[in-house]
Amino acid sequence: MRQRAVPSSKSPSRSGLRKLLGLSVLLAGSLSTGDLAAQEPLPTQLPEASPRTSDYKIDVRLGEDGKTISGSIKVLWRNQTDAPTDRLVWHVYNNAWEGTQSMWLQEALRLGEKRLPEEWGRTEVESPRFLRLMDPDGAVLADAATATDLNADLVWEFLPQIGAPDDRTVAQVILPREVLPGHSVEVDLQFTSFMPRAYRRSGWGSEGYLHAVQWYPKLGVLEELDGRVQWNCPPYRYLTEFYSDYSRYEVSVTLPKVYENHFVATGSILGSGPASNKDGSITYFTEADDVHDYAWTVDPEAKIIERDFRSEMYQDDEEEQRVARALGRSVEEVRPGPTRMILLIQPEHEHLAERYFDAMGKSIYYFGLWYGSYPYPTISCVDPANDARWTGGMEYPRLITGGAKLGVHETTLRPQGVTVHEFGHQFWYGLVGNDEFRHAWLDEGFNTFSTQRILNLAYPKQLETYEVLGSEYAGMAPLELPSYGEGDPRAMLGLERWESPDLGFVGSLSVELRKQDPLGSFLAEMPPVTYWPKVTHDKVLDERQKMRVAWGQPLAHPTMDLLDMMQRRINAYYRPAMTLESMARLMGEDRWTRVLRAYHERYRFAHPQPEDFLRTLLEFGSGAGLSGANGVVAIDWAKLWQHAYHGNAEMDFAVHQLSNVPMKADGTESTAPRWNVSFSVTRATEFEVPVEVRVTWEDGSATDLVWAGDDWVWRQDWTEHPQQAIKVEVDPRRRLILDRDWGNNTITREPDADRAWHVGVQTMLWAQQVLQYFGGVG
Amino acid sequence: MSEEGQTPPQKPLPTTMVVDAFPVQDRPARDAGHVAPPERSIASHLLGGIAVALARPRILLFLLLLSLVLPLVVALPTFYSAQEHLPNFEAVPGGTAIDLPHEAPAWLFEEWLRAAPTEREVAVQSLPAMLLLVSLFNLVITGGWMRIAVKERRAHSLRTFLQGGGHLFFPFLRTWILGLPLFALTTWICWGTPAEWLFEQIMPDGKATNAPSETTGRWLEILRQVIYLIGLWKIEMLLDIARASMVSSGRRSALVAIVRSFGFWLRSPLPIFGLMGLGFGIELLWIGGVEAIRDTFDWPIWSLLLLLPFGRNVLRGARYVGLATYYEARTKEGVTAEPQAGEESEGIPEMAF
Repeated sequence: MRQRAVPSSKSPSRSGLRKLLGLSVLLAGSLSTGDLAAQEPLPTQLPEASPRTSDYKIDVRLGEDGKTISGSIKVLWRNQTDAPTDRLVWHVYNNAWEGTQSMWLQEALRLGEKRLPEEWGRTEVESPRFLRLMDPDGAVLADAATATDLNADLVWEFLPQIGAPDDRTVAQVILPREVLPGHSVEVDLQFTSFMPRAYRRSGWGSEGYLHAVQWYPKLGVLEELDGRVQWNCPPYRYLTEFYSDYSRYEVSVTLPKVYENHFVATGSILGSGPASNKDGSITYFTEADDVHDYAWTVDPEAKIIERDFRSEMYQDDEEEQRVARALGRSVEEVRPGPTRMILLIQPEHEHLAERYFDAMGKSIYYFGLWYGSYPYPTISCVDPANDARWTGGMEYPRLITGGAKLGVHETTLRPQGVTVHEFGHQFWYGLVGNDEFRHAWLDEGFNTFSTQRILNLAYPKQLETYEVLGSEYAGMAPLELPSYGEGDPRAMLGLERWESPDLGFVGSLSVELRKQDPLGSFLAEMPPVTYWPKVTHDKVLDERQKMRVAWGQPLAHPTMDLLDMMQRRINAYYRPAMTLESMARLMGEDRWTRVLRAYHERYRFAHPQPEDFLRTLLEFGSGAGLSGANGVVAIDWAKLWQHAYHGNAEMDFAVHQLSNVPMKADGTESTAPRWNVSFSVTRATEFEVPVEVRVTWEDGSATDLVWAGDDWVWRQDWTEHPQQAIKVEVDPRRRLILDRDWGNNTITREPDADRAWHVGVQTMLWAQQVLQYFGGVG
Repeated sequence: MSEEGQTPPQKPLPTTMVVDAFPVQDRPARDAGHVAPPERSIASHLLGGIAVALARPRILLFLLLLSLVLPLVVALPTFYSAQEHLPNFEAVPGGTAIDLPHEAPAWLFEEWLRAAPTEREVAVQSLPAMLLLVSLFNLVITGGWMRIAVKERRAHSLRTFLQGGGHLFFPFLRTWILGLPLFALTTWICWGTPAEWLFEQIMPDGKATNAPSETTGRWLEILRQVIYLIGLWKIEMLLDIARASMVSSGRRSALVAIVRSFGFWLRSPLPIFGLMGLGFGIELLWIGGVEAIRDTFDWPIWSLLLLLPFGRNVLRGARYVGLATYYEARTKEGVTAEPQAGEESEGIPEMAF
């Protein structure tokens, strides 16, 4: 078919194109049409405080053993729904560690978890009592101290779970009076928590370290669920974390004297320090408002270092101005406010304290700049004891745990990566408190998206490393030295093991001949010579590693019922992060900044659902589109959401063909050669989204086109074109992080054949040294 | 009885220099008719070995060719996989350039792995079999060098080298087989029950990674790896000494040779460690030095494919030659004990251990 030739865009030189390609990914987004209107002031604003559904008054003592916490809780709970309730339902998650009968451990064992707690933990509750019932004005309707017609002693009843009838991680008390909408009830109880040896998020180490989380009975959430108001208080599950209401906490913790000045907590310490008691112990009085959980840590061996955060210490003028412009606010309005950073660090990691503070500071700055200032007076970060490092990498309101390592390479973002991520949970989980049982992606996904961006923005690129003698060095092996385990006959060939089958008179034999340890591998491979010296990581693009595993279930599937831990990693962390990144790049940075800021401001101190995000996306993302020489294509966010959230198809665009057929115009000899140029682009999966296509011509100029992506194939032809097309590239700006195969995104007339040559030589060099080394073995 | 007209053989007299350097009268020679040569330093044995190796270019060329051919089994499949999957990738705007071999983004390798999840794995699958092959062929190389060092000092041909190595292959194979339980024992000591017991005395649950202090765990792990390496190295030395003793003495019992080598090692551990350590040290220097020179003068990376194995083969040969000459010098076991080709010495059967 004969078509009119489309003129090439004004991109006359290769250097010009390179400059265009060289723009940062963030700026590349500005090419989308969506940025044109992103100047009006954002209509949302941050709330002053949370609904404060509960007031907890907790008074506990840590035993001399450093593992047993006992005390009392008094809770005032407000019914903020429009339905009455006759009960209070509690999480008692420390009971997940009382034995393999717990639902958590049942699921863990079923899904292949090998490690069990080395010392178990549990929580016992005594004497739950009803105290008072009050109306919305605070008038007492029933008081246990005066009422004679009610039984104030409550029955503490653990609720059996389907599949784990002996699970004791959820309990309820039936109240003597119904709590009507707007009314409140006060109860109290005594409890003793025996904390486990450090295991999955909580517990103690051998030298006095104790990370107290899920250490007290905590109320679930009364809310509308599946069309009716009910208690949302699932048991502790292997694939999930936590969910509870925003509350006010007054917590006093009495500790052995040895813990003086070795205590950090969710709450701010009242007064100038702990009070001394007659028995030699000390008591920290603390309080925290507008948080939905409370954690604390002690470690007599650790040091506490404090530092103020102020915006000017981490100021990024360019980003501040961009955010202010995008939100239609002043720079002063978007600049994050001050707070206090507290670090509890192991003495052997003290030289890494700067890395922790740097990561905390940058996180407070960028998260605050993008989503709204961090509202609390303190943030505490715990560097866990080595034998309790399973408590690392976790988030609780105003308290996070990191994880440092000795001997890391200067570019390795450890502990920075984990610190930025856990701090990010202060915003996604802490301030925007989604239901982590059903929609973990709403915090993990948003947080991973934000974390990777900060790590890319605020740090030099991380290099791939290998480890020898406890230290990391830059380099990446062309191939992985094979190592085979017990029962694999290939281990015999590599002189790793001696394997012999059961011969009847002699049983089967499996003897390890040679251990492939890092030092041995180093001498065999000679990494300084044979490894790729500089392989750099882009933290955003690293997310694509998770495409190696099949996507078993759509994002909409409840987190707690996902197939396994890998599926959780994919669905909760990386797939949503890639989806958000793709949305951001399609939408343009300014518009995207408005979407996320509006979502955060609307749902700070609230429990949003995925549909709440969709609503915000549709409201603030509309009007965005992609443009090319052939026009503009608007992005249908609802359709994209349908594919990304409800669907399970992976995205894949490919260039199928490029041809340049020489032409003679009008059948006569032409003075200048003319070409019939044709290319086709395909969409290989159900996932529809608009996409850009770039055609590069012989002279280095390029034509940018846009395809709506609504068909399986898109073909373009030019007749009698004065130049040949040398390259066709789909999604040249890499907006679609979700596109599973970038290898088929380009067809070029001159592929870079040198790459294979370099790979071949490097691999040969590597194999040569390995064979040389093993040639001397035996 | 001497033939007519022929000068009767003269008993060699020690020179003044030899007497000064080596007081033979204090240590009577085992063979009354044999006068000990001056004691050479371990460095001179190693340097002598280097000279012996460098003087045999045909052997070195053969070994170099082997070093170039064998890795192709792994490199070629990887090359073809790269040729199919890598050329079309474009660098990400604003990201790391794809500039192999100097610089590359990690995502490139990730995309390659996803596009061809098994190709690189398959390429590396042949490596274990290659490891076994080179380990066994190394017995021929060891035999070739040691025989040249002790028996065929004037031989330069590849044929002699291979014949010598081939002749010693089965005796050496027996040492190789006997070495396996020694390796297993060392591995068990360093990574099995004894190490676990020791770690449990130091740390509550016996795992370096779970030590209360990361520093303690880290150093224990480093120490373990170093001790393990030294242990393996010592076995290699014992086996090489055993082979040297077999070449030197002509005895073919591998078991006796290993026992003797252990005794020999106990008598002079430091010189042996010194000899082998010096050899490995020079080899490491060669590797590092060649890479530094290549980097400085921006030679192509394929130049290492020639230079590294050349140097490493010379130094390996030098170690074997040096060890054999050192052993012979210390034990004074002469060439006369060596059986002729095809002749079983001392009536010990071929498969004797």
